[in-house]
Amino acid sequence: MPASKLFTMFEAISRFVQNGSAVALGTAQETLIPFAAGHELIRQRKRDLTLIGTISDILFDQLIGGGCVRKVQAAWVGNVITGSSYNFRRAIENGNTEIEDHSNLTMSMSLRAAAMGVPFMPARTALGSDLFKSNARLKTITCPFTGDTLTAVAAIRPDVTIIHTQRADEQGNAHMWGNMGITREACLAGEYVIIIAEEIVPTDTIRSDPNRVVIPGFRVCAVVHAPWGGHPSPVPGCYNRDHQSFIDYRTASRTPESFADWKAFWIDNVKDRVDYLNRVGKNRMDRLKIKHHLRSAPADFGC
Amino acid sequence: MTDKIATPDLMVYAMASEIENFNTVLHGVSSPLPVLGMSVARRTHAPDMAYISGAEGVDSEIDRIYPSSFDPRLNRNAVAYFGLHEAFDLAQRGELNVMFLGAAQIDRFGNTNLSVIGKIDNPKVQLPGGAASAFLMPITPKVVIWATRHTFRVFVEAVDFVTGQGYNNRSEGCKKNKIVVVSNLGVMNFENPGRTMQIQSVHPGHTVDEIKENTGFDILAAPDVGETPVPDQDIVDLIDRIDPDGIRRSEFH
Repeated sequence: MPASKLFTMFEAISRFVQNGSAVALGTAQETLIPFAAGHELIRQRKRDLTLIGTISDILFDQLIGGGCVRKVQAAWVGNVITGSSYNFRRAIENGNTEIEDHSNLTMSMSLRAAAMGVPFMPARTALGSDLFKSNARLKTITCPFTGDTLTAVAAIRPDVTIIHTQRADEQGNAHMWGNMGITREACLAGEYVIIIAEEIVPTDTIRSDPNRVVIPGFRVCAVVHAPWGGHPSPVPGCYNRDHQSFIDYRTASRTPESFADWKAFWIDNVKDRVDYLNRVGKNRMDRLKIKHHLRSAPADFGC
Repeated sequence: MTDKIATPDLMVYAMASEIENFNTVLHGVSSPLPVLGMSVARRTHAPDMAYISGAEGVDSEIDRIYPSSFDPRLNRNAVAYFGLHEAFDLAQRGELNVMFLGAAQIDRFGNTNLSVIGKIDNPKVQLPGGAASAFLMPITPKVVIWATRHTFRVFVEAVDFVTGQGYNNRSEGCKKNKIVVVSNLGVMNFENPGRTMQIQSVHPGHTVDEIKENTGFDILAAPDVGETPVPDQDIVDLIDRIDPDGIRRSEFH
């Protein structure tokens, strides 16, 4: 039996994320965002992080407000249902944080290049956009075969990739389902991979459905058991998106002062995940829990 | 009855009308109007379209929309999950027909800005970002831009930052691709030799002059300018059923 990689959230974050690390998190658009891990980064006062993501929803805004971030590499940073987000705007407009503007595609190509171990990937487009002015990782090249002008998208290798999944075993073999975005690419590109799982299951459960593994445990350094660790983002099969949280956050993050109050209540003074869930409250959790089940038919792997 | 149709419904119908049967169509983040437009098209004139959600579900059964356009419930009973990056690969191969994109600013050549108001190194307002725009704008055969506030602040002489590429920032090969702009006042296209924005149709209750007054550059009406087609009551009812909470109206505040 391989050694267990099960850590507490505190241990996993303190051991594998350093000040100055480049951290990929939120790689499945609005779904399965590792909020619990992000809050732990804020609680541990990690500094000078580079955040890597596609559409990270409000988690990036919270990390920026928490003073953790030097640079953002993303295609879209905001509050998905309300538009712009305030800490992000304040940080960029005051020049405190650097933004490297991507499109969803260049972000995924950067991670794919890193996953493949090559320095860049060619793309047919982004040509003509001012993204070339603001993003030094985009250059034009001439295709050696066709002579076409192409965009070269430089590789981005995260020091740490943190993902939230429905279930994993103690060795880090992680099952994930629903929309997954570029989670697999981010896991293949990352130096360290941390899995945050709703549920820790026996390896036999993983073995019963190996095609559903997003990343095998041999590329994983830590597994953390964190039920509701994706809240307020949705986790298919577990709970729905908590829209009210996003609306409340918009109001709370409007000024640095009100954000500080929000952060004290939802992050700084939270002892652990149980304490966090007590603050969310049982009624709200009951409302968010999945009631509309859509189960897949089992596949026969017999041979 | 025509003047009774609400602007969001008219825009949804105009956006749905840009989709042809058997098209492969994708929508992105924060896109309630495109989600409704695609749903209406699929349930009316385009039953064979390939519906790819930005939430990655293909041909899902969408009973209703939610405040987020990437809500997993929009993927219920999908026939497949198709990664967003795979949808972009599809676009690079020329197999994505229609994409819906937003714009904080748009200019006469169809350049869009979703990045920053002011200068990039000294931003007045940092916007959330372009998401798919820089990639999909030039290479997609038809891009439909929706704009819920047709004012001279949005329809500007020149965008502060080119996120999505208009006709003056495209290679020859990409100039044949179409841009259609659906605003709260009318529908605009670029079907003229200079590839500049012109008025294709005016929504009922509005005028060509009103569009001109609210546009920050000289805009002409197309020679065949007409009135934007109005949806039947069946379609209005359908939109209401898919969006009982009126999420489509949230962008108009």
